[in-house]
Amino acid sequence: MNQLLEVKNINAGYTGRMVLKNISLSARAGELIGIIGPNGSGKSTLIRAMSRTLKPEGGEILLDGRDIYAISPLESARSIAVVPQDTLIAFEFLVRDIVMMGRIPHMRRFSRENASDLAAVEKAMELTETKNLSGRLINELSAGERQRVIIAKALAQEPRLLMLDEPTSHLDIGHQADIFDLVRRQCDRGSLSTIAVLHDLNLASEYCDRVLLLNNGLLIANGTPSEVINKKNIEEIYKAGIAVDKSPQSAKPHVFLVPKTRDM
Amino acid sequence: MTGKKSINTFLFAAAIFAAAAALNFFSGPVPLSRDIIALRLIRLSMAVTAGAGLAVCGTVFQALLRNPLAEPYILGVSSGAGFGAIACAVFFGGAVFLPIPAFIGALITIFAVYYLSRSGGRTPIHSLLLTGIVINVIFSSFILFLISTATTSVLHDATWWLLGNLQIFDTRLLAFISVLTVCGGLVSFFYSRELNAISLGEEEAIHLGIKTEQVKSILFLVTSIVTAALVSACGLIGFVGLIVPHISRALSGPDHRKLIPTAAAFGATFMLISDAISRTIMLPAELPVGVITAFLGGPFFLILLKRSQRLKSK
Repeated sequence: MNQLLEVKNINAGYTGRMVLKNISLSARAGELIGIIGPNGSGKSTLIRAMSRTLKPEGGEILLDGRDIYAISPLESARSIAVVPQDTLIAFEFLVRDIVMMGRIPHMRRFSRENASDLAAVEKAMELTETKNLSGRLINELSAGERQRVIIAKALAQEPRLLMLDEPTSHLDIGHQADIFDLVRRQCDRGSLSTIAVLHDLNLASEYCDRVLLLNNGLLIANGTPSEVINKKNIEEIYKAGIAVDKSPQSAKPHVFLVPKTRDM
Repeated sequence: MTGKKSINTFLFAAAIFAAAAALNFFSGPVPLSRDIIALRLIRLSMAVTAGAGLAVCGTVFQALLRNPLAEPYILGVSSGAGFGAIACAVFFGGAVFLPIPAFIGALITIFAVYYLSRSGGRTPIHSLLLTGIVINVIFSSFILFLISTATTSVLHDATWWLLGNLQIFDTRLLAFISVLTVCGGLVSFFYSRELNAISLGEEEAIHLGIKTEQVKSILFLVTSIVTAALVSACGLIGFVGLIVPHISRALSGPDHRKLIPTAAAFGATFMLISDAISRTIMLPAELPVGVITAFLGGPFFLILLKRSQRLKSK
């Protein structure tokens, strides 16, 4: 099976401090992969390394078998889109202008938006249910609306690989479900692969095909949610008392917090 | 925007610009003689160049620093230029052509700020800002020191230069500055879509395939050099680089493909009107144009700020 993205033995970090140590992973077309791990385990750094914002020191990252640092930034942006945790925008852009910026990697410098650009924007806004926000100002939206617009921008990029860095950490459970239902559907169509950093273990378990567990910059486990999210792994790495049971709906593992202060 | 509407907008802007140019050309106490016409035309061209140049540089600075309070002087270019000019006035008297030492002083500041704030192939915005502000303070203290030791006549020259004055006498200087400003404006316009992407954040721009560090370096250096040339020739003309980008953003929206031409046109028009006022309001004396731009711009900025606060609290 051909791999869309292959990460081979990368180290990455900041001056004097390596955050990621010898990480390898791969993503196939249509896969939804979750990255979990405690605070400071290197989840966001991994996203930054794979999205060319932080160049790894050693190892390689291959997109369709080619080193992503050997292809042009615009070319890789036509394949990879990223949604950060939160985007604060200082200027009063209209929502449709923001979504249209997703077309930058596809457009020539001074060309006007053509039919395929407009179609991609239209489709992205339909999928994210942001069409009704089209004429609003980005900095007047609620956090949930804004994040949907940023996801629309990423989808307008028509990427084959979407990277999400805790995209729903500011959102309520309904909006979380909306966004992951959407991502899941796109992946099931086979048109998109997604790598998402997730804080919420149950969200990861419910939606992801595969879960990677990071701790102190090391990859501890890589497998299906049932293989990775178990009492032993989670208690050991998160240092929290937990119980794991199965969701009555999906039979996927769900994590329950067990407070230490009270006898249960 | 439809074709017809954009043509109408363009014609409307052109008409206002022409009216401002006519106002600038004809206002003044003396009858138009051959020499006066030549002086007026040089001054008018300088006003257009300075207004458009400062407005475009301010727009680019605000996008690069993602800070609506940024302006072209924020990184110390102006105090570098001021130090160059005033040091020369103090040590060599009025014998030296002040724009040259001013330009040298400003260039030294630009490269000092740029190299001091770079680390590991990157120019982080916060270190650029901090370095710029500190360099600004250092040069300002030099300027104050020089002024405190200066004689009255040097003091008058220096103050007049600091306050801003569009009347230059050398057409070669005008040609040099105009060419530099036009090039700077074109480079900024060329990078419009990069500026749009960088307005969202540097990492977001990288995700859209923009070579953020490269674009930042080019634009920072180009706009700083244009600012340096303008400050060296005309002194400190305040507020244009801060206010005009804001008004232009309200007129054309934040998309730099429209914003940069709008800022250039509006900046030129604003400067023509300010200059006409500065020459005629206190006849027979002439006010420095920097006084008028700040006098008009300050209150306007406060109104804008109040309005945006109201919008946010809603």
